[in-house]
Amino acid sequence: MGKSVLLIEDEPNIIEAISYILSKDGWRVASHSNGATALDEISRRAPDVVILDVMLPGKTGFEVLRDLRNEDGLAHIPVLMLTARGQTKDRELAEKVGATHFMTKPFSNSEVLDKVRAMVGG
Amino acid sequence: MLLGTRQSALAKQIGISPAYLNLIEHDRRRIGGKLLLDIAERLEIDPNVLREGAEAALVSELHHAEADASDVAVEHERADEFAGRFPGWAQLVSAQHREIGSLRSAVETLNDRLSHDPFLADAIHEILSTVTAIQSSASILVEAEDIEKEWRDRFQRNIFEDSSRLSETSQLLVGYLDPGREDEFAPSSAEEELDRFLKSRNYSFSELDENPATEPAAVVENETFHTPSAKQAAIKFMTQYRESVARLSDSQLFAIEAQTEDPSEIARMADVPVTEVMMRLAFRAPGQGRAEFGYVVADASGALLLKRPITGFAMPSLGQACPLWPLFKSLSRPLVPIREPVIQIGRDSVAMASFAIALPVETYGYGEEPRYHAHMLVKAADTDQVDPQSVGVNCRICSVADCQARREASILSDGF
Repeated sequence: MGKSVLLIEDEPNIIEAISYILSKDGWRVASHSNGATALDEISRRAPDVVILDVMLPGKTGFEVLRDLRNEDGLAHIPVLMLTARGQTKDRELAEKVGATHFMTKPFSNSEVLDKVRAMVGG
Repeated sequence: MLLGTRQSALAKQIGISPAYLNLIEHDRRRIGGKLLLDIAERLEIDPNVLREGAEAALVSELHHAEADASDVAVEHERADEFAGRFPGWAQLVSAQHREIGSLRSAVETLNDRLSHDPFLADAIHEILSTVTAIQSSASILVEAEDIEKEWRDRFQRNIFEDSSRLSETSQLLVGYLDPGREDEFAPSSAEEELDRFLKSRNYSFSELDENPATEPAAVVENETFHTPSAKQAAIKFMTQYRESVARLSDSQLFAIEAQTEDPSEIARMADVPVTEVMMRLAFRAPGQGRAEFGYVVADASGALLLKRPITGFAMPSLGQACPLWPLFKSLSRPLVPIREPVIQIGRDSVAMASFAIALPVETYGYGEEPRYHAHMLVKAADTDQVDPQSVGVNCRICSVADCQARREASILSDGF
C-alpha cells in the first residue's frame, strides 16, 4: 500500500498534473482547495505528506501551517510549501512557521517528486 | 505689501495692472530695467533693495539645490554673487532642482506601486500559477511514455485552456502598464501639486471670500493637475473654505479681528472652531489692514499636510521641518493653545508671533483613540518680542551649530 499525500491548492490544472505524477509514482493522492477548511481535511485524512500552496481562498497557507504545527497529533506531518513568489521574505516566513520544504512556482514535476519522496525518507 | 502703499494706486502710477504688480511682488514675474526704476522712484527707495527681494528667493532655492547635492562642493558663500551675475543660469539650476525633486517623488511612487500594488501582485501570481500548470502538464506529455489516450487528451486540453488564460492575463497586465495612462504616472506627488496650486493662487481665493456660492470645481476648472488626488485635495480645501465663509463672512471676520488678535478669542466671538479662524486668516484675499499670516498643518507623524509660508517664516518644500516649531510642541500638549514668539534663523530673520494648537480631527466615541492634527499660525510681530525661540526651516539648511534637536548634518559651513 502506497503512502498518502494531500494536495492543498486552488488551481485545478495544477492539481490534475501533480496528482497524475504522484499517482504514477505509487502515491495515494487527495486534493483540497480551501484554506479555511484545510486543517479539518488534514485531520480527517491524516496523510503522510501535505503539499500546501501559500495563496489559498479563505486562509493563507502560512496560517494553515501555523495552525497545523500547533495541533496535537498533526504537528509532525511533513509539509511542502508552494509559493508563486520566490521572495526571501516568503521563504523565511515558511521556515519560521515550520515548513519542511519550500518550492517556488514554476517548478518541474521531477522536483515535486524528489521533494515528496525525500520527506518520507523514501 | 509694499510699505503700506495701496497696490492699485501704485500700479496706476507706474502704468501696469494691479494683478501684474501682485505677481511681481510675489516673485512670480521677474522685473528689471525701467519698470524697476519706476517703482523704486515712486516708493522712494534704492532700486537695489527691490532687486534683492527677487534675488533672495532665487538664492534660497540655490541653497536648497546645494543641500540635495551634498557630494558636490559648491561655493556656498558666493550664491548671491552667482544669482546676481548669472540670473539665467541660476534660474536654470533652480528649475532643474525642482524638476529633480518631482522626478524623485515619481520614482518613489513607482517603487511603491511595484511593491504594494494589489493588481500587479495578483497578476503576477496568476501568471506564475498558470505557467506552472502549463509546465507540469506539458512535461507529463513529453516525459510519460505509457500515457493513456484519455489522460493525454485531458492534459492537452488543460494546456490549451491555461495558455488562453495566460494570454488574457498578459494583455490585462500590458494594458495596466500602458504608458498612455499619464494620470496614474504623474511626475510629482499630490502633496507637491497642492503646494504649487496654492502658491500659484498667492494663497488666496478672493472669489470665495466675495461669494461663498462659488463652486470650487469651477475655480480649478482651468488648472492642470497631474494627480487626481491633488485636484480632489484642492477642491476639498476650497469647499471647507467656502463653507466657513458662509458661516462667517470676510468682513465679519475683519470686524472681530479689529477687537482682538487672539485666534481663540476671535473663534469664541464668531462662534466657529479656532482652526477655522486660523485657516481663514491665512488664506483670505489680501487687503488694506489685513495682516498676512503663515499657516501650517501637520499630522501626528510630523508630515506637513498644508503649507502657507510667508516672508519671515519659510517652510520646507519636501520632507520634514524643524522640530523646534511650536507646531510640534502642540502635539505633545494637545488641546492646549501655545503662544510663542519665534525667529527663523536665516538671512531675513524677523521675530514672528506664533499660535499653535493640536485638536482631534474628528469626533470620537468610547474606546476610540482620537487622531490629532497640529495647526500653527505665524505672523510678523507688531511689537518687540521678548526672547523669541530660534527655529529653522529644516536641519539641512540650518546654521545653528549646537542644536540638541539636530537630526542630520547641515550643509552650511557658516559659523562652524
